[in-house]
Amino acid sequence: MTLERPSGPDRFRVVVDAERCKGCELCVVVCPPRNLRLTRAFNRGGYHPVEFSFHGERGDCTGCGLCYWVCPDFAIAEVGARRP
Amino acid sequence: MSAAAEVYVPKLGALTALTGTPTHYCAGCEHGTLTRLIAKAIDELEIRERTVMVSSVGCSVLAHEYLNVDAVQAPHGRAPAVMAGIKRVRPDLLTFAVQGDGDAASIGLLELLYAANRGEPITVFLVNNAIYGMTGGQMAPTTPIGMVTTTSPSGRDATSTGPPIDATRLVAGFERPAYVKRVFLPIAPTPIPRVYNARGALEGAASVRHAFEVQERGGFAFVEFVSTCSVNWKLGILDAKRYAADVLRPLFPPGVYRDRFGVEGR
Repeated sequence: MTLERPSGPDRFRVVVDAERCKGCELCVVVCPPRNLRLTRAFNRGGYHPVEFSFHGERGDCTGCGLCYWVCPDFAIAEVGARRP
Repeated sequence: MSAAAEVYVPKLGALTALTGTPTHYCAGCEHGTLTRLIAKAIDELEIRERTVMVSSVGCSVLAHEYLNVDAVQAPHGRAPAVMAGIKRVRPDLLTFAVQGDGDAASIGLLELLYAANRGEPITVFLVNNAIYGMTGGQMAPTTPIGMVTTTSPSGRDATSTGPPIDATRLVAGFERPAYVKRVFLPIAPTPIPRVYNARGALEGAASVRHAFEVQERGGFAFVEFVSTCSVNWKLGILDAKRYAADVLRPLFPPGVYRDRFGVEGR
């Protein structure tokens, strides 16, 4: 039996709650493939929130969840894997 | 949103132990990271309905607004004494406190040490950011020598104030504590520029879980989290992480200082 594993750059995704983000950049510098970056937009708190992209500077999201663990404001709401 | 939610299965997601209230912590503060680690451990161990948090005084004072557990507010530094009382009346409950270094290592040092000496089955999390954060950056007992604070404007001087107090070694000096550990919680710089590792957060998640397990088995658990306070250190967020790795990590070496029940490495 072959195990169907999702492939492609969008097999994992990170959901960012932009209104909670305080733009501290912790997730930006711990993300190994650099899938998160600060935006130029402002949120309600006056911060520049981070945004997620499937294609990082150094590759695609691997779903490691480091951003989830370091985020002090619970702004990384979810790390999800695509259904096979 | 609904179509996307069906396509992706959450690996890490919402926690029932978090209320969802936005935190009052400054950007990049380890207090928020620790709040999520505690919520994750409470969810994993399924102990939310019988956990009582004792709020200390300091930046952690509003943690009861973020954690969806019952809470009691203790007088400044007296959280271990209040927890000991809760535990003696209701041994079936689990109780923990998030204390700062000013709360636990200065004003409440006596309560912490006597609770450790008696081996009360409670869990104490100490967030050591080497300064009084909430009151505006005064010198704390854990402030490293030479650090400029509002009450030591020319740097902390060892001849008049003594060397920094190491709360973990003090607690580990007693016979009764079952689990004593120190974790370096901030993200740490690596030799590659602008690349940081998150080992502290992952290690902290396991330590919080172990601390609750030790309390279930009737032991005193104490975990110190070395943290940063970028606002009162007057550094940028990532500069504060670098300072913590350069100065605080050698001063407060992370590691397991006591593990009587052998919960580590299981």
